[in-house]
Amino acid sequence: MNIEFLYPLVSEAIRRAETLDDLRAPGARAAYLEVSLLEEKVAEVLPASDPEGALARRGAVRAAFAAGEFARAQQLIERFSAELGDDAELRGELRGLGEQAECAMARQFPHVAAKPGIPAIRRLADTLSRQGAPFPIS
Amino acid sequence: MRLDLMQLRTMHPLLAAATAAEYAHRAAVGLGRHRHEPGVSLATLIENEAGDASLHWVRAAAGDLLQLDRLRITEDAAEAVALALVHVALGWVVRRRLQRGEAADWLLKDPLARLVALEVSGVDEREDPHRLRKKLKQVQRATVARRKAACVVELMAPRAALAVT
Repeated sequence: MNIEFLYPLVSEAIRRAETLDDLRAPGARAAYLEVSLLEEKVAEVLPASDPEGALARRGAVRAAFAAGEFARAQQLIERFSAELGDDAELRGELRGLGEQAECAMARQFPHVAAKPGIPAIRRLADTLSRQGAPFPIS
Repeated sequence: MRLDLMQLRTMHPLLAAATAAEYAHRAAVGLGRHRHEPGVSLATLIENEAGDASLHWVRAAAGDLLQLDRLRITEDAAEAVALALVHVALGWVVRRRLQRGEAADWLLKDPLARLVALEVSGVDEREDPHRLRKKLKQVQRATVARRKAACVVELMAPRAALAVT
């Protein structure tokens, strides 16, 4: 896939996701996941050293958070950061997106954020998701 | 300066045909809502230089207004006008839309292949005389491009102001 093919799709997907988000429509999260997947495709085409490649990496992470796909967003941050080499700026921006998402979650669920804490809940959710069952299996 | 909103796809080949058509339609509804007719004069202010343009579109059906969100119409109509204006006046071409959080709406390239981050703001009538300055300040936070621009489009007048840094 090339940029000429991907960019029209990305633009349309962003527009659709933001429209659904504004309407608080139920499809907004799925639409943001599509944005994240398309941005990831763009990131495969453009290197991180290209401003548009950096933009795509931020976009893939940002949209994954907007989709509520926290595990995917964290994986993308780790993967993109690993390929960055000395680019501390983009690494910081990607980490910053994770921190922003964390803060937004804490504002949304202040009691959970106070105790046991968002990271603890996320670890539990990851465990449950990996084991494929609704209750912890020891 | 003639701004044909039906030619957005030709101006910006990386806009999907359906997206360009939708922007043109929203602009038709938005401008029609203010009883403007195709060919209406658009007062422009591009980097502090006053000018004049004419806006052209195909009229939308009267019932279309009822199906669309008022704010969305204004925003999309403003984007259609802004994208036509920056192409015709400055030769800029759309690369892609930017997500919220990038401090701009669009990434474009100028004729020297330099990236430009563009923030577009649409209003029905002027409420805040400092809106352009505020939008220009907002777009300074965009990191994707060194050149930044803001465009405020007012549908009632109609008028468009563009500032570039």
